Amino acid sequence: MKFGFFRALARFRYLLFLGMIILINSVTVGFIPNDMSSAYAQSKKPLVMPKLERARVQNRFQARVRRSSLNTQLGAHIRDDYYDSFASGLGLEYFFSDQWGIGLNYTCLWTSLSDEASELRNSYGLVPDARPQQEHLSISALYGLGYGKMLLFDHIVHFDPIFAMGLGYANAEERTLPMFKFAFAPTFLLQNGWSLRLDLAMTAQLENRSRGVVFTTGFMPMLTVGWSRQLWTEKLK
Amino acid sequence: MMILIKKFLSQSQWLAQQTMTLLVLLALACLSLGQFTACSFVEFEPSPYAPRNLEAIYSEQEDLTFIFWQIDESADVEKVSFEYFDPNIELWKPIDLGRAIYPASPYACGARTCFQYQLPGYVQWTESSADYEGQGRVGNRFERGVRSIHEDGVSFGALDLRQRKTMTTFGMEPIAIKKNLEFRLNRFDYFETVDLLLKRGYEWRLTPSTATTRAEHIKENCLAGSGAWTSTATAILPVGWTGRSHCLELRPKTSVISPVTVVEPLPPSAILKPMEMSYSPPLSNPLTFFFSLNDLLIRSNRRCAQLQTEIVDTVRGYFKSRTPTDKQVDLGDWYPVTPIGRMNDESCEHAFDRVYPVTELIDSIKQEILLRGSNDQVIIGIYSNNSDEPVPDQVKRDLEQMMSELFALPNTRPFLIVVASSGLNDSMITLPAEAQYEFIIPWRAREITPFDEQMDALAEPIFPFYTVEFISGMTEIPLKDPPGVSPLEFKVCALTPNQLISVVVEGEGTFAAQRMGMQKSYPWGMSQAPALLMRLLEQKRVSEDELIEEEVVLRYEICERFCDFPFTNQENEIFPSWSAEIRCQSQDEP
Repeated sequence: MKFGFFRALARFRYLLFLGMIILINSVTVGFIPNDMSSAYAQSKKPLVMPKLERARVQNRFQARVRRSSLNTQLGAHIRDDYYDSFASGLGLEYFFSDQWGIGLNYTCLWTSLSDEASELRNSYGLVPDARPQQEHLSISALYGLGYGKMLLFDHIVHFDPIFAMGLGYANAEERTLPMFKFAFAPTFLLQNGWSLRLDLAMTAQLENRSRGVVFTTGFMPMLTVGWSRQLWTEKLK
Repeated sequence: MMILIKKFLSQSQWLAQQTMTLLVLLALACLSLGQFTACSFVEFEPSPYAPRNLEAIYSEQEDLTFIFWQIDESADVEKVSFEYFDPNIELWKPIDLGRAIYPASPYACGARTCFQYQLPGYVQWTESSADYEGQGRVGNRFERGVRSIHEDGVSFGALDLRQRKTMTTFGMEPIAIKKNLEFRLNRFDYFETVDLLLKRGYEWRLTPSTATTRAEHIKENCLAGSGAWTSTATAILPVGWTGRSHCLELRPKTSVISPVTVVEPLPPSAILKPMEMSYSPPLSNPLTFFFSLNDLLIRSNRRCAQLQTEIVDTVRGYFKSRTPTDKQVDLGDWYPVTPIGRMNDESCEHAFDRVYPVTELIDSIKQEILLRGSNDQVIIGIYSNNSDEPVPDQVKRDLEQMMSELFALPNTRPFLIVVASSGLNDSMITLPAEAQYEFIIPWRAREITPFDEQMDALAEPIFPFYTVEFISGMTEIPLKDPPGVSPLEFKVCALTPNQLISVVVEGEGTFAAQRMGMQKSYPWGMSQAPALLMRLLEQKRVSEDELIEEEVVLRYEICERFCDFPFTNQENEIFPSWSAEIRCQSQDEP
């Protein structure tokens, strides 16, 4: 079983997803920026919460404009097609402005037949008319809704909520499926350009099966670790 | 992670609970969203690698279970192997196609790749799970006989399974062909009847038989064989094998088991030869008499003679030129006479009370017929009249009397051609109903050239007259004697026109066309070929355009030896006795 490991991962995708949430939670709390680490130090002391103290306005942590980032991703593609797909990917993004950017994404999938479908295949020779997908390639338009921070366990967490809308294709054995992707990706900003992101993507594909073209939808949650850098800063006039 | 959790726990309990709850709810919401929004509308379809059309047929004759299956042509045959489920030990066992009892490589069959395998004995896969429950094995899966294993370890169950039992899977009905030099096996293959192809070779050998008569050529009289086996790719029989009775033994080729053998009698076949011939009844020309009746009114004798020469003689000349010389008799020119019997020597003077010398003319014709001994004659009369006046009643009566008397002559066909002015139309001569030809050619005193054209048009379809020398039921049509062959019997295979009355065989008698009883063939006779008596059109003294030239086309078959033995036709039908069968083999022996 060549893809046994990935198959196991795909099989437990729901647990994996929950793990991602917990991991993001933990990491963002654990690796808060240094300048905010005093909050943790203060946590040793009795917590005093003066009135209106939390409603402070602070400087923006990281601007998106002219920022380029390289992302690695792990996750799953859930399509309800009797296949378990574990996904890992690489992405490249660049923001032209503080709101708009472009992204290029390649995802490799390890897809295996689900247990119930395997049983059907072993017993009756029947397989889903959908083909197992091996890779996705997409180009996306990125839109930054704004930026924010929140106090989480006495830590300040900075985040960028981003929307992505992409077009691409998926390779599924001998078939090529056109793909549309829409994602909400809350990105948690860490120090030194590092970031953690939870990509919650909806996929829509057209698959040309033996009975004709079939429209399919899928859910693709991916945990993304990224490193970004602003390519140049604007000169002051 | 633990540190982080501890750190987290050390924070405000309330905040932690709220946050975790929020995140978990968010995660669950996302999962639910994903789960509900993900939809692939999947239907299940047969895998290209899944065995399909799986057939298991148990042959009681061979005590073997023959298994056939297919996979889709898009499946890579090199990457797949197969296993069968042994119901006795309830285990899957590998299938080695090359080591089958009747091994065969996978072969393309339409849009599939086909496979075959055989298992000794009766192998049956129970489809009903109730059987398993009855044995206390609830939940055991029904295994469909054969499954395929992809090289990456994935297995594919069979899409379907059909199990059958049959008594016989192979047999034969051998018949000797090509003048007993070869045989055709006419092998029965059960699998072909159920649209399956079992690839295996066969081998044969001759075994002796105790049969001495045709009726004794039965399976029970076959003796055990001991000769060498020969592949059925060769079907040449040993020289002189017809010297005694034989049977044929057949078995499938295999080196794995001792195969079942079948044996059938192999009597010699009738040695036949197709023949073809055609026959056209001979034609003859009847004796043709010509005479002219000149009824002209021209005062100038010179002019009269000229017209007679140019018109009447021209007409007569045209007709005569289209009649064989030895078959024409010119009775000369005849003129009206006066009532007192004076011949109008001038020939061109009309007397109002003129009459024709009909009696003399008829007597003259009878004399000529008698003189020449003719019993088949045509009499052509040319009546010329240049007057616009109606023909006197007496002349009409004379002409009608003449024609009637001519019709009354035996074996005679009279024929009257009138060359007259248009005024004659008003008093047309009434001829007997039997007179099939009556032509009126408008009188033209001078125009010789246009007259030629008209004569051509008239004479060409009429002359010469013919008589077909054939009398139905009497004229014999002799069959062609085949060179170098001594026929014993023959059969008429095809006859056009199909008007056979009887067959005349020298020394044997006459046989009706429809033979009653078992014998459908006719004897050939000893020294002379048989002859056919047929019914054809009887045509006597018919004109050129009336003649229907009939041709008898006959296809027949002669038998040289073993006439009451089997034969096969081109459609590979086998008939037990050539003599007793009404049908022929064919033009060419297959």
